[in-house]
Amino acid sequence: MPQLPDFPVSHLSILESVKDAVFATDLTGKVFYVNKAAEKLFKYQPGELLGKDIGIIFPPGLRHERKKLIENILWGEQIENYETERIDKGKRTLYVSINLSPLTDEKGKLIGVTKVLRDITGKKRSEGKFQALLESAPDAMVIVNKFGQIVLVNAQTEKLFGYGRASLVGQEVEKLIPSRYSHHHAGHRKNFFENPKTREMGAGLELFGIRKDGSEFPVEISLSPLKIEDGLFVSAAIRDISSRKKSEAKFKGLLESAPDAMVIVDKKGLIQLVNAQTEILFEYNREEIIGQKVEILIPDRFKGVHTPHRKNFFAEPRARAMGAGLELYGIKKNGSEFPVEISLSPIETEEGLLVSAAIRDITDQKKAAGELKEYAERLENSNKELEQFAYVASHDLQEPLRKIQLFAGRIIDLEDRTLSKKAKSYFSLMQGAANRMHTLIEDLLAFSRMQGSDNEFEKIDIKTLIEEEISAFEVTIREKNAVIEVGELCEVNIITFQFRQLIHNLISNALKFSRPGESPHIRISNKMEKGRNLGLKDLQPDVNYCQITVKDNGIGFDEKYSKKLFELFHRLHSNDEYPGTGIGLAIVKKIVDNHYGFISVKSKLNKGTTFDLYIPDNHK
Amino acid sequence: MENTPLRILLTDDDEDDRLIFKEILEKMDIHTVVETANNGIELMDILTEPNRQLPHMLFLDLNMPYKDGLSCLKEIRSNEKFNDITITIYSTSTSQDDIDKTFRNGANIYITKPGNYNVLKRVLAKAVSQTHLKQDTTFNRSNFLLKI
Repeated sequence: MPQLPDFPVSHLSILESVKDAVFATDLTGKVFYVNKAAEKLFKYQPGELLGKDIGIIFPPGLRHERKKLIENILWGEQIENYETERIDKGKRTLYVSINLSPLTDEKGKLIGVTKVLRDITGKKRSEGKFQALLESAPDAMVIVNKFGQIVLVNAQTEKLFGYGRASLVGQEVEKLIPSRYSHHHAGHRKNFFENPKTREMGAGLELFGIRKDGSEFPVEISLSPLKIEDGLFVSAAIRDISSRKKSEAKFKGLLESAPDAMVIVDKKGLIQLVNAQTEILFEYNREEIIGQKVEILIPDRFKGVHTPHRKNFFAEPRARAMGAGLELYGIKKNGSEFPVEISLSPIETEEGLLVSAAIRDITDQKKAAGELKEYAERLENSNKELEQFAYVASHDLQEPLRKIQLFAGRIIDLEDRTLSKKAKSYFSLMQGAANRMHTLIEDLLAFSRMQGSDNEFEKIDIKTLIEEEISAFEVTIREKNAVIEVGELCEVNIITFQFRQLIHNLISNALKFSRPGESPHIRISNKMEKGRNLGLKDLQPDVNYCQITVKDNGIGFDEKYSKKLFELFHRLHSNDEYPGTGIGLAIVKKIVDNHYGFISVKSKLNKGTTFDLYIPDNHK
Repeated sequence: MENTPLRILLTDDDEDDRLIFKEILEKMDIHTVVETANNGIELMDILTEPNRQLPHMLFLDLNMPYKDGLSCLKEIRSNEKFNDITITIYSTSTSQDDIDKTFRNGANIYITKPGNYNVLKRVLAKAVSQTHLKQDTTFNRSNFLLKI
């Protein structure tokens, strides 16, 4: 049992009343005094610790601390608020803050050490809560002291930068920054500590972090000052914005690859973003127009109306064409104007509602449309001229011909007795030639009349029309003993005077090209059918067609000529066999075309010919 | 009445046609007096001459210089003074459009000039006799339409 020094009782009772644990040891570490608070904290019986080595309260991993602390005391130093861990009798860890003081005798000789331990487990626990809070943050959190040393990081930081926690704590925070920025960073850091307030780091700048493996990535950082007992710290929340940057890049790529000039404007009418097409079209560099009012791209005379329109758009934002039906113009940097087409779309962004305007230069389109119109007019004019020409030519050709016929007739009449037989036969040949030419001109005139464009359609029952046309052939029908059968016929949408000519020509042909010694038999019939059911590829499937069939038992022809048959002046027979001009079927074809219809022909030599007409019930 | 000649005025720019026309009319059984005008302007001058006896019958070519037949027709039919004149269109045109248009504007007879002399004779005789027949009756000329 060691000798107790002579302490006044009153002093001891003071120590016993203290809340902190107080130990006194000799220089070997043997405990010669503990207060009640110490026994309570470390869960020992009263007196149980007396005479024991102080090492009993050190955790096994911290034995080395003891030597270090004693050395400091021997050198006359004090140790204050040293935070560490100790264990109680049940080996449970306690967090403590320790103050060590040398213990001297009356002469000032060092005889031992006084330890005052304060239980800081509660404080540590709240630090743990703080850590948990840090861990639950979605961003990488790095807490830095005013020397720029990392004091705390969370798991996100480890994950993001690829470092273990232990290799970051105590390091300079510049370890996480690419070297080209780290120099500036240290300066900025000092500035922050001088004027600490929550803010974004490097607003408007592109920031990067660097991983353990040296790879960089774009980040966004927000800074907050953290004032605690131990002093001022800064907490940095670091967010990896790689994917956002990627989608931004995608958006920019999309913007740049757009065929139109794209101008993105904010609510105030300021240009936020433009693409390369905009630079080309308006001949500005993007730096010159970004941040400017969008009206810089609009001719002066439209500016007055544009501003209220822009405000209306933001009031009711929806994708639409600008100024539908109006002629819009843009203005280049050099002041020249050009016609444009503009479509607007609202874009919701973090910075608020924006509007994207896709602007297309329609100069070429307008020019082409103008040219097309001009061509159409010219074509129409030349068609009219041609029509006029055909008419006038035929008419004026007719005149002298009629005179030849007339005066030849006069001569035969007057000189009937004096003319020789031969002269008379020449006269009749001359008259025959003149008659043929007359027919030719008449037919040409008829053909030229079919070119008319202002044809009026009407829906009529064609049975009467056909019967009227048949009656015009009364004489021929009687002569040839012909039979013409007309089946039930329906109403057809036709240009009446043209259709009359068409029927006339078909009947005329059927009567003319009859087989010698055989009475002509002609059948005219029709039916109404949808285009799809008629088996002709040229017909529109959903349109109703009136199919009119004209079938004869005449001489027919070789079907290899069926295409040529409808060409102007094309004939399959000599004049001696069957006189004609080769215009009749050309007229028929022309009339069918004018009715937006189709004609086809089937024939067998010496068996007969069948014409099928397909006239649409309605044409648009 | 038998002795009152039928006054006929032919307007045609074609000299040959005027010649043949006169020749045929002279040989006709019906007594006629034929005058000619070379174009529309001459025709209108003759018709509006003061104290002039108006023709009973007018033959009007369509295609003429200075003033064509259709304009003459419209002008004549818009003047009540000429209500009693039978107007015959005498043209080479076979166009249905021309036929319709002239009838709509008050023509009574439409003749397409034939190439054959004998046919021409027959056609003119028909037109003249039809007009002659109706000459002295109170006849509503606006309902008289004949296409030959």
